[in-house]
Amino acid sequence: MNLEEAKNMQMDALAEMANIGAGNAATALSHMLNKKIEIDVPVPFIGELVSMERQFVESKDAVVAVFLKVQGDINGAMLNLFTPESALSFVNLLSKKEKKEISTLNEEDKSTLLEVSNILLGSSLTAISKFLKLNTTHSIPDISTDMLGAVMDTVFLEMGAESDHVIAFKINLKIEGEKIGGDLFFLFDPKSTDKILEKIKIKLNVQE
Amino acid sequence: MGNIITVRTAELAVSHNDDSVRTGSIGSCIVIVLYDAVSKIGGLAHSMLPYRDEHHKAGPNEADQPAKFADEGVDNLILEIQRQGGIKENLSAKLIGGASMFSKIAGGTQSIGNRNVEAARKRLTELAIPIDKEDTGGTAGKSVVINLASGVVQVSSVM
Repeated sequence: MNLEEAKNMQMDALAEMANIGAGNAATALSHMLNKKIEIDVPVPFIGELVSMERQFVESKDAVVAVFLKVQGDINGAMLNLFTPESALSFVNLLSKKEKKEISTLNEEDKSTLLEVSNILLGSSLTAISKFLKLNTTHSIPDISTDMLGAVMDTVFLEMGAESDHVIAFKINLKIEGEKIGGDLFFLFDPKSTDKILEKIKIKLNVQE
Repeated sequence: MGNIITVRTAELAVSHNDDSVRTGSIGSCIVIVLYDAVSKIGGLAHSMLPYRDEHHKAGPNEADQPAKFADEGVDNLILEIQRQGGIKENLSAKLIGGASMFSKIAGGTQSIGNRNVEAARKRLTELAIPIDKEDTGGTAGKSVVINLASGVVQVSSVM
């Protein structure tokens, strides 16, 4: 096996882990809304901090972002991104409102979105931790409505303060038949990625 | 109409005449704007991190990252302004950025945004360059553009 193949295998393993996390989030969302949820394949963002940031620097579209930090056996972060339209739809769907403008979201609506994301990200983390037999906790979530580029700037720098490399997976969730959805982002620092790969290796050996 | 030069993360650009220099998506990053009002030469640096430290050694791709670190960004921006004919003694600075978009989790004086602002301030003070305006901290992302004919700096945010 050459280096490139080894790298691809590691990527597959990490993407599979992201899938397990997102799958659980989708199940949770499905129960919450009593609707079918579609999951996309994970999109990797792996590379130097600077080039990751530059991918987003011109993204001026407004997003609603919920962010939390992961601590314990691994260090990382999780992010839930909604377009303003999806954020409004979630609020309207869950609290039986008919809001039309993102600017009309009040504290109560934001706390609704925080709670949705808390459930989605929390269930993802629980699934990943269980799968890899890792002990993890997460911070409380925080919410921000801003330019995608500025949000990603902050998120990557939070991860990049102690490393020049970023490892992240983006997975899109969508409610079947509707335009409502959101992106889940799982981010890990390089040390934690090594630990995750080690755990995946153990896991595979056990199953053989 | 002059050209509009767009600066990406970790880059800097200097110009003059009718040109404008702009950069966007400033969250926790810090943007240092320097302007020589006499020669009307100036520009900006878009820095990500405060200082080079043990976690951030020189990499192979740094040729196009002259402003990755705030302190080096200030130095390299001054060098480029001087190269184009500006005078260091005429420079004044403006700082934009260093926000904490998720202040409940990553706020406070130790946040990366705040450390970026501190690093830029410190380097400018060491070089005796006055900071005449700051739009730093807070929780909002920003974009910034400087018009070099007038020296006017415009900062905008979405929300």
